[in-house]
Amino acid sequence: MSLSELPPAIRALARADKLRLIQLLADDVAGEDMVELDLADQTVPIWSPHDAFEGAAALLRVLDQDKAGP
Amino acid sequence: MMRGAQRFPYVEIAPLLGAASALPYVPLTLKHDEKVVSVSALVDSGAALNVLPYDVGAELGAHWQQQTVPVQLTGNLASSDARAIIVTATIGQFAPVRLAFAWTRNNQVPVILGQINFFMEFDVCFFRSKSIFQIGPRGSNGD
Repeated sequence: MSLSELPPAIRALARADKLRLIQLLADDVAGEDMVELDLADQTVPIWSPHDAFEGAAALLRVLDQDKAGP
Repeated sequence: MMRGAQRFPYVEIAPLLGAASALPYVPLTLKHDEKVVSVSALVDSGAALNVLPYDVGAELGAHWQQQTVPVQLTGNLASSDARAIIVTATIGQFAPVRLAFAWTRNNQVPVILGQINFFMEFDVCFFRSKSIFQIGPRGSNGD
């Protein structure tokens, strides 16, 4: 069933069923939020120093000195 | 295929997760002051520099106090002191090269081969869909 088919079906529901549907959708959305929160709480260590450019520049200077010899 | 390149398989570091945990680790030997250590290093094109964990540097006979150039790291490594150290690295049958590492006090990190200066010494091609990568001496792509 596509989304466009839903409104006519929903309008045909009794008022009490419409309220239950609202509650059902709210619970579903809250459940999805909980899943996202669980993922957000996970700690995933990322060791890669992807932006350590000052450190990289320091290494280049040391390499230049190494090439130049003692 | 790069001329003179050597092919390596991706390594699944968490067998239970299979291909999801496959990373390009390459075996290499490091030499410093006549001491040689064999390690498996992460080829990390996203890393700005090479990183050496503390214990590997110690195994190579390096003395922390003698390495006087501080190196500022970032991310999870930012809180650990690091100093520059140069070692001789050999991969496969390729000629040894001098690699500069940020030698960190941290031991939770793998040996990382980054832009400075691993990627300046070697040309690398990743074929993740085939779970292989190729490494060749710089210039091995014909340019």
